[in-house]
This record gives sequence, C-alpha cells and structure tokens, in this order.
Amino acid sequence: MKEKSFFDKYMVSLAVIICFFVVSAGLVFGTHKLLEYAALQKVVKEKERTEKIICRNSLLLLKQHVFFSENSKKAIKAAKEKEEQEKKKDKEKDKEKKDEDKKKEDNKEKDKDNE
Amino acid sequence: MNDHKFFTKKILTENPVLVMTAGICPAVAVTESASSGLLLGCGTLLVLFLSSLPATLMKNIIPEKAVCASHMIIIAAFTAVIQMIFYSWFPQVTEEVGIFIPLIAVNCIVIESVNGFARNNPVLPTLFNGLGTGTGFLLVLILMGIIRESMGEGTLFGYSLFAGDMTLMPFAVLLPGGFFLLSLLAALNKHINRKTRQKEKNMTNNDREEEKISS
Amino acid sequence: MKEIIVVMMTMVLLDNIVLAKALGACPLIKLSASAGRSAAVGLAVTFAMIGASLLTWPIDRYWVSPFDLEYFRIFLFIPLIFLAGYLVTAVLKKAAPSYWESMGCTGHLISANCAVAGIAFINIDQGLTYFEAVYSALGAGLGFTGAMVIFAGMKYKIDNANNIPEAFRGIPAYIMALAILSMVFIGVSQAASAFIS
Repeated sequence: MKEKSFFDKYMVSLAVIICFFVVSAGLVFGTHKLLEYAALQKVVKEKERTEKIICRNSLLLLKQHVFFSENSKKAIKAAKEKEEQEKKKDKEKDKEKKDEDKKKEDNKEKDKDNE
Repeated sequence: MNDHKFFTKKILTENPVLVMTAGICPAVAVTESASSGLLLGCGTLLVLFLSSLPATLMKNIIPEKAVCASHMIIIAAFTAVIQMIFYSWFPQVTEEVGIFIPLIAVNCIVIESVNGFARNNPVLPTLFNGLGTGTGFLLVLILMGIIRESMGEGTLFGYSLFAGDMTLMPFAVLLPGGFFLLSLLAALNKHINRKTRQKEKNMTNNDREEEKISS
Repeated sequence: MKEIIVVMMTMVLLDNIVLAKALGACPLIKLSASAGRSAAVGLAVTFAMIGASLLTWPIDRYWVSPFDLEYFRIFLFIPLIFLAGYLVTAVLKKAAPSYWESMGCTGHLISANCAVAGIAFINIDQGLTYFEAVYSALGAGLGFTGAMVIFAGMKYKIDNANNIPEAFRGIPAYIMALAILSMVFIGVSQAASAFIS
C-alpha cells in the first residue's frame, strides 16, 4: 500500500487554511475601510454644514451692502440737485444785482447830462 | 423544540464563568467599572455568536487537520472587527478595557463553544448555545461590575451615587476583591442549582410514587 | 547584572501575571492537580509565552508599525500565538503522552490562554525591545509557575478539609483561595519593593 504523499496529507488542509486567512483578512480590511468611509462622510457633512452657514452669512452681508449703497446713491443724487438749484439761485441773484447796478449807472449818467 | 434549553441551561446551571470556570481572567480584571464590564460582555457575546455560525455551517467542508487553525482565524478576524467597531463608537470605554478586547479571541468560552460545540452540532442548537453562553457571561460581568464599582468607587456607569468622595469598600475594586466576589457568586449559583435539582428530584420521586399507586 | 535580577524579581513578585494582572486564572484553577503537574504545566506555559513573544514581536516591528496597520494586529497575532502554543503541545505530546492524555480535552488551555496572549500584547503596549520582550515573557512564565505550584498546595488542603460549607465546596473555594493568595502577594510585593529600593 502506497503511503500518502506529502501533498495528499497536508496540501489540502494548508489550502483551506490559506483560503480562510485571505477571506478573513479581506473582512478585516473591508470593515476598516467602511469605518474610515463613515468617519470621512461625517467630516464632509460637518464641513458642508459650516460652509452653508458661512454662505448664508455672506449673502446677508451682501444684501445689506447693496441696500446701503443704493440709499447712499440716492442721497448723493439729491444733494447734487440741491447744489445745482442753489447755484442757479445764486446766478439769478448775481444777474439781478448786475441789472440793478447797470440801471444805477445809467441814472447817474443821465443826471450828469442834465446838469 | 428542545433547542432553547441550550440557551436557558447556560445562564444558571452551566454558567460559563461560575460553573465551568472558563472566563475568569476578563471577568475579574475588567469589572472594576460597570461600563467596561458591559462593553466586554457585549463584545464576547458578539464574537461568540458570529464565529460559531461559520464554524457550524462549514463543519462538513473543512478537513480534519485544518479545523483548529481555521477556527482560530475566524475568531481572530471577528475579534479584530469588533475592536474596530468598539473603538470608533465608544473610544473612552475601549481605552479602559485595553488589552482585554484582543483577549476575547483566546477566551476559553469562545474557544470551547466554537471548537467543542459548533464543530459537532447542527445550526440551531449552536445558535442557542452561543447566545446562551454569551448572555450568561454578560450577566455575570454586569452584576460584578455594578457591585464592584458602586461599592469600591461610589459611582455607577460614571454617575456618582453618594455625595462627595465617599467609598463603601475600596477593597472591591482591587483584584483580590474581584476574586472574592466571584467566589461568592459561584457559591450562590451552586446553592441555587442544588436547590433546583433537589426540587426536581422530589417531583420525579412523587411522580414515580403516583404511578406505583395508580398501577 | 543587578538590574536584570531586580527586573526579574519585579516581574515575578510585583507584577505577577496571575496574581496582579489576573491573566492566567483559567489554567491555574483547572490544571493544578499536584505540585509536580503544576510545575510541568507552568514550564509548558513559559515556553509558550517565550515562543509567542519571539514570533509576534518581529511582526509588529517590521509589518504592523511601519505601515500603520494597527487594526490588523489582532488578526496577525492570534494565529501566531496559537502556533507557538501548538508547537509546545506537540512537543509535550511526543515527550509525555500519558500525561497529555490525563489532561483530557483541556490541553488547549496551555496553547491558547489569556496569559500567553496577554504577554504578547503587553510587550507591544509597553514598547519593549526584542530582548526585553522575551525576558519579560520568561519572567511572567516563572511567576505563573510559582503561583501555580503554591496554588496546588492550597488546592490539596482545600480538598482534604471537611468543614467547608456545602455551597462553597469545589470551585468557589478555589477562587476564594486565589483571592487570599493574591492579597498575600500584594503584601509581599510591597515589602519586597521597600526592601529593594
């Protein structure tokens, strides 16, 4: 009766053990990756939440800025118109004054001629 | 339908720690605080349950020489998985428990259940046996943890019971106190088992006498 | 030279692996039948510890730590510890087959018990060098053997005593004896450390 060779005695068991080892190593590795992914998702969600809040805040600031800038434009416009009106008034006053002066001078000359 | 007996048997009459003296090392060293006892008990239950399933499903496939080694590999893999999960969900308690989570893999309870029971029995009794053994171990750990922490440190799961820093019996938190409490629990368990067995014996004797009278 | 002796005494007395760290209680209670048997089992466990440290330390140093594979450590260590224990039990089977049979199916307690695995993980936790790891395994094994021989004597006395209450006979009495032994060792270790320093 031929004795069982080394291959028959041990190789099958060794192959089974190596199979188990590989599958279990895959299980451990897979769990590690899964937990890593879950932790990463948590961090990403937290980051998204913070970014949303920052975006909302900056949007509000922008609106405030626009509101104030429009208001200030209107105020500048109104101030300019007022200035122009005052300039006009000043001009008319000056004109009237000049007319009066001219009239006074004409009257003086007339008086001189009469003498 | 008798399979559920494997579950109930393991909690009182054949409790792995108190009767079979199989998991004494973690039971005494870890129960200095109740939360670490609870965590280790849950971990052992999960590893036991998860590793006895493949062992019993594949008991006809694995050749005789490769049985022990493949069982050890399965148990080691599930212990590593449980350690990772516990570390990510309960980091502080896992730090307290320390090296005893890797030692779940060489716990006598787990090895006996997987190598001794799951190798020779079908699926359903193995399931019940695994659950029962793990639950018995968990109950002992919780009981010892609660008693030792409340008497030795005056806290329970971290919440202090007494006002100030009062401790009833600091001896309970030391290692000899743990062995002492374990022996008291083992004696109590033995007493309860004896009384139950005596009751059952009396009942069967009464049944036999009734049969004799009726026949 | 003096430090080596002091370290060995520390490991055997102050930090006894069973009585101060509760890591070898299962084989202690189950396998200590008589003083001779206890010494033999203790020797086998010592060899298993040394073998486990020899095999697992290089794996951690050259495979786990450099590549950040902390999560893989348990999965790599446990089969190696089991292998070390299996080698020791194979030698034991060949050298003393009758003794092996008398131990029955508790033989795997030598190969895979909390003490052997605990030493492998404690060496990594404490960050010891290769020589220190093997030396601490030797010290732990000697401490375990000493505790086991003492416990065998206590077990003999307990088994022959006849005034133990019914509920305490057997295992509860053994665990109580272990508690008292542990207390004694704490006292002795305090005295020894005061003597050394």
